[in-house]
Amino acid sequence: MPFAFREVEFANGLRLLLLPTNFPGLVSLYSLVSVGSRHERASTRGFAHLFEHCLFRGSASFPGRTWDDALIATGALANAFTEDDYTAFHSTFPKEALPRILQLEADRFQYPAFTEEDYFSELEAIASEYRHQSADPLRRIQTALRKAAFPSHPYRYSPLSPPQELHHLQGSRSLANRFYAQHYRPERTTLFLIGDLEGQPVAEWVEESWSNWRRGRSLPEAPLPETTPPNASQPNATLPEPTPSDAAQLQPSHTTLPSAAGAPPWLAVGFRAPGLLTHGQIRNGQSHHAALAASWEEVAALDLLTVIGFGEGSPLHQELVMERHLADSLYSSYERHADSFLFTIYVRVKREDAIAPVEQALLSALLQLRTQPVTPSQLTRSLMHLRYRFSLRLDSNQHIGRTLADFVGITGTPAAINQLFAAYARVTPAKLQAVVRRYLSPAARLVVVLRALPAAEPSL
Amino acid sequence: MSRRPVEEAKLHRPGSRAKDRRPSDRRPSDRRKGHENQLTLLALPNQSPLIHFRFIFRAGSALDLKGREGCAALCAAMLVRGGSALRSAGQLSEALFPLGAHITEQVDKEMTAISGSTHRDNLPHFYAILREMLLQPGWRQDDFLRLREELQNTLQQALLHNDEELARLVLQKEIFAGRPYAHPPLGTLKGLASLKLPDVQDFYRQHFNRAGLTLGLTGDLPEGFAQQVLQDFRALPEGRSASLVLRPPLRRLQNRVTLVPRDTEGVTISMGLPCNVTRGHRDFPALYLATQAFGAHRSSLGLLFQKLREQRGLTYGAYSYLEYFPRPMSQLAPEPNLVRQQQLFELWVRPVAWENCHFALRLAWRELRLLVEQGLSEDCFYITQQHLLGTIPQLVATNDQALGAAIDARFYGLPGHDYAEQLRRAVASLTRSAVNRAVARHLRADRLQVVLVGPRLDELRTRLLADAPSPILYDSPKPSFVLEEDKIVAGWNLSLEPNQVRIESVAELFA
Repeated sequence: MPFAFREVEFANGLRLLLLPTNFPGLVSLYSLVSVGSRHERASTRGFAHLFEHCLFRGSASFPGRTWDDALIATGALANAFTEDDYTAFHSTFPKEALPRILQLEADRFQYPAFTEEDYFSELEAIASEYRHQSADPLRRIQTALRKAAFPSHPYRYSPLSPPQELHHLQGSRSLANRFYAQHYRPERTTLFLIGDLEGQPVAEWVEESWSNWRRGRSLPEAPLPETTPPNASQPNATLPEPTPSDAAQLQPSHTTLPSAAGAPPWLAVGFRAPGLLTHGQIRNGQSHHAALAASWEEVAALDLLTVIGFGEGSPLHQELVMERHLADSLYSSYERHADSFLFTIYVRVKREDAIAPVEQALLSALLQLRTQPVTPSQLTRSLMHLRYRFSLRLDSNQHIGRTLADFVGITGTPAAINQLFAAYARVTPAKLQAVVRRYLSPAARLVVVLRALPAAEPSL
Repeated sequence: MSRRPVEEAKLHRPGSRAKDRRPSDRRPSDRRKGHENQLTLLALPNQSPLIHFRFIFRAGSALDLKGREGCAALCAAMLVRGGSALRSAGQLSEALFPLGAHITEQVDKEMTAISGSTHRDNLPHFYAILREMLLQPGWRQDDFLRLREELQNTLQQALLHNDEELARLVLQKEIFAGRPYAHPPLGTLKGLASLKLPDVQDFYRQHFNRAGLTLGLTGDLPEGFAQQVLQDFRALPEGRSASLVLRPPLRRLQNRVTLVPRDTEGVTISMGLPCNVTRGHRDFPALYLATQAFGAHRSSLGLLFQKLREQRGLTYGAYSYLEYFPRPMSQLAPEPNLVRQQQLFELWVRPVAWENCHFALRLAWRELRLLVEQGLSEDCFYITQQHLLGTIPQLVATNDQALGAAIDARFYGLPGHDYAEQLRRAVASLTRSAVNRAVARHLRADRLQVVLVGPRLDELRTRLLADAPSPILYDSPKPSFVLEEDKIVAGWNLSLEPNQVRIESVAELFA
């Protein structure tokens, strides 16, 4: 990473990360809290996202609209998002506004003062947020994949729950307060500042307005189920093919979602893949999670696989998109998560009758990756691709913050990105082959098809 | 990051005169005549290792021939993703891959922007690919068929799976009915289906030439690089002036409501009216401020947001726009290089539960009426002005955005290259009365085009025509001032006649 950062930890456990850049005049703040839908249970489903909304609705010193008005008057552009593992509140503003922003942020985190009416208005706004996303093909596919992959781990549910699943929030303010008190604590919070910070006594300002925030009681959380992906208990590197008995345990799943006639079909194939949590610095209060057997090299290898195997530079892309005209686009994602999540391949298929040949080609490509190592040249070119693609994202404070938020939000430190890039350089064709065998087993694939008609042909 | 002086060169057509333009509210079509006859290099060098390219051709979808809608989009796709005369699409994609870079096309009504970014380590490789794509297209039938089908699918997906985008496309179509702006930049299904490779080649020959081409560059440019780019693109034919003189949209004398039935979980509302206050217009800063105060994109600043979401929880958001903003669902700010001579003043209400959509429509519409009649309050004006002084510089937070804004400023006839700073200064000097005068001059709450997309619209039509009361149903208590206002809104008459409220299917609208 072309920027150095500085870290300060305060007595109450709050962490401050400073990443000075040479983009003049502006500063971005990402306030990252270790709470997401992963920390919810049946009785608290939807709270993480709801609190993200409610934290814009006033604080003790700035009640009601006055909090928002004070923020707006600084010239800040602010927003927030809730992920599975963390919640991010972000704003970008003129550097002169930094002391004021820190004061406002401190007040809403320590003394939130949203009213009953605000709480319910935001609950209704979330219903609308769900409505506008519910028709999106990718959102529907991801919902189906979560259901197939996680029978009981909280990753089964996205942070944005359908309104009908949020009825329990209607009358549960005391539960809401407990959830808030448990998760919105200094030791679970990181203030990540990026930008024109030179000569500003940021740590002093933070000390001044945030030091009264008390640590939470360390409530033990029940261990989460299913944090380990299939095969993760096996040693790495030279894995044998799954035995028949393994395969018997790992049933592929196949889900078909109905789509409007005339719209292009989608095919998604997902696999359980390792999480990050044990790789980076473990955040306070989270050390109870089951350790994964994966290593940074495995994470790096899976990242490389998104482009080597199933990206625009892959032979499969050449075949499906360029030569056979079966698909419009092919890409894959290995999202950062604390626990084991998904490695997913997405294909927008050109026509209904192309779905089966696309799935067949995809399985053949997987087989090829299992049986034949990629060439050193393919690996070098993919490594270059990832490095330069990453560097091109670092073009503003806001974009740097967004790019690093996953790493900071999950592992607590942007240093994780350096560990990952160091690991990229250690990935060999054999290691790549090993992660394919370990995690991308056809026997464990989760297939979701979005199409106009029910599947006529049997799943391959 | 300090910016070195701007390097700029113009290649004049023999016999053409290039005069400096002044900011003015002259008719946009007049302004264009000063620009279209010259090849322009706009280089903003600085020390950033990230080098950005924005090559702008005046070749937008408004130039699509009738029955051939989609030609501009398919032409741009063929250039960027259809391979070159020297290399196949696959080979170009393979060459681009290790650079981690992308080259993309953005086609709008009046321009096609081909843009891309690279690290300076890879500049020669990257530029060679970009140059090859634009100057030596491949024109293979196989790629043509592949990309045509891809665009058809992309259009189908937008029409069938994205109600919010659909509502906005219908709004444009209705307001610009019978005009070259009416169809989506992607084209129509019928238009795309009718296109043949020679149509696209003709489009390239006719519109991808030096006349009106702007070559935008920024980053740590090697000595002489910008001049080399300029020299290379002189290889394009000179071209004739592609003067696009647009007639104003059809004059409507009454409100119109278009209902587009869809089996979805909520009702999306888009509404608007033509508005030609573009960036070169003297009232632009005032109307920009008013539009932000009324409905800043994804911000709690806006009155619409406060009324519909904060106070009532009716919707995730409600916003207003003075300039077209494609794909606003996923972006915080619009891309640059969407210059248009004609704009809409647009309101967008994100999906509302069916039971409350009549109320939400009345509330948004009434707020517009209040804005036009009463203008902004002193408090609202002041906080918006303070806010914008901080946010306007963020319009150009990246060097790429600064380059895009500088290019757009030229097209809008603004002097200099620091559009954001000019806008910031103009906003700083505004008064509330100046803003409210501009609002009264350019906005109105009648003669609106309204579009609703969602379920049970037959039933809604009946309710709209009857001006039936639409009391809002809350799941939770609300403050008394909200409930008092609700009573007024719920009975607020829209006075629509049957001929003003039509139900149209997606298939008919975008055949």
